[in-house]
Amino acid sequence: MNKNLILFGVFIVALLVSGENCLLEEKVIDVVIKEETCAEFAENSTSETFATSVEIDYADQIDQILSDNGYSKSDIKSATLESGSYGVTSYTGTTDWIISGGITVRRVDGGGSAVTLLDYTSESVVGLLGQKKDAALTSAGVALLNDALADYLGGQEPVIEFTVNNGDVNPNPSQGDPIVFNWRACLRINVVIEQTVDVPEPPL
Amino acid sequence: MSPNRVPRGPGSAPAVLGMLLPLMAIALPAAAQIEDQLSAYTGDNAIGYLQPLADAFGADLNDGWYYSGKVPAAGPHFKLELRYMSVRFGDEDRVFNATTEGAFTPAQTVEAPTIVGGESVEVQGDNGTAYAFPGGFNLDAFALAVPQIRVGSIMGTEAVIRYFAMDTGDVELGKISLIGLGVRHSISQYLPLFPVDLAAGFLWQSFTVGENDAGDDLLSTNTLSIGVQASKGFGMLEPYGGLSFDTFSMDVNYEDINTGEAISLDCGSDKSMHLTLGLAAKLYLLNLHGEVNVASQNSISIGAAVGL
Repeated sequence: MNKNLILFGVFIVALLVSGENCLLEEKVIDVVIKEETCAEFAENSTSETFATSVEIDYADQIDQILSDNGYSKSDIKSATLESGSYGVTSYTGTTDWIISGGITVRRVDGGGSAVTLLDYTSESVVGLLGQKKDAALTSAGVALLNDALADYLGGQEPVIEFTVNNGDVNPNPSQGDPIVFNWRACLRINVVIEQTVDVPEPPL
Repeated sequence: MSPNRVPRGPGSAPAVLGMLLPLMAIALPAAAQIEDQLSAYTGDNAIGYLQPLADAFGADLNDGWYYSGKVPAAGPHFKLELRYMSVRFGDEDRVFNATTEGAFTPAQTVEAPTIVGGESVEVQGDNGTAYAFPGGFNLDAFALAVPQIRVGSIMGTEAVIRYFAMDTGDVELGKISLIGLGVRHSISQYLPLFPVDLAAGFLWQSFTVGENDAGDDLLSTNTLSIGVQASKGFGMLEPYGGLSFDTFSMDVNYEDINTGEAISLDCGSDKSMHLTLGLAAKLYLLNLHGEVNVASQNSISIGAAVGL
């Protein structure tokens, strides 16, 4: 019986030794994190034309995304803009405002002029309440934001100014009935992380 | 019974079970890493990403629960066994047709890496946007090593029990739990002149891996194998074979990174015929055996059994 137990043990030890030496291999895998960064706008206007600006520290936002997922900037392989959306986050009025305009982006760090990121046309504030509407992003806006991501990876700390330039409201707001609502524009970003992990490679 | 709680001594059965723990624990990349990759996907993409792993689970788990067609008619009969089961992945397992998700335009379907595949893939969209598909873990093979106990016999019937449970902590696989219950019944006892030993039986198993942020099992699988086995002894050697009908199902639970909502995926049920051909060598109380398995996912298995 002892001899058989020894042989049985040898079989197991052989498997374990092969496991220790061969089963775990260090490999670099590409982890993809997809998260959103949003600019929040609070509107309160008695005119149909209004402009509201919000500055977003892009570097801080991405650092937070990485931190939330347990990674650091040095782990990033690439970062790109995937898509955009917008929607109304709060509105307590009764008037169904129909708004048209655009949202521009501008690099605050290092200056630069604003470029259009997206246009919105005949959007219902009531209809957008609680929604995330897919946005058609312009090539100029996407290029500015992708450049900012590249600069972040290069060590800079880009700050982006998002500006709502509203051009038309129907019906016209007035002193007695101002247009008051909160909304936001969100950008979905791909961050590809290189992570070194121990991956099993069985000997057989 | 948790194997890492029982007292251990040299040469004892608990010691052997304790030695198995590391082997079992390296069967998969860490559960947290799998969940990270899955979180970029929903629905069909997530299922396609995981499919090779699901197939490998099913193939491995339905292997290795016999190495003979002989079941003693009566009398005490106890064996402690270890089975190692392995599936090698082919090129076709490394990619799947994945479709971009969400607001990305235009929607595109491309070959993206599965969980066993390689680097991430990025496609270009409208006006400079891009969509990234997660990479895989670049696995060549997937293996499981499981301890099992065989006990009998009553009226030509024996039981096979597989059990394993441990918690490797947050940074490793997380929780792993395997329970398997099988019964085999001798057909030979009714056919005294039949030239080979024959048995029929089934093995049911439940295997769970990992724990997501909501506390649910990350991967939860169930298998059932029903079939017949035959063997014939030639001195120390005993060729054996079997034919079975296997079923396998897997559920995946993870969290959507954008909404925080729990996603539960039913990867469906796979059914396949399963042919086993193997050879066992008997050395008094020790039995060493190896086999090839032809099923929806081919695999090999080796094992050792000791006992009366």
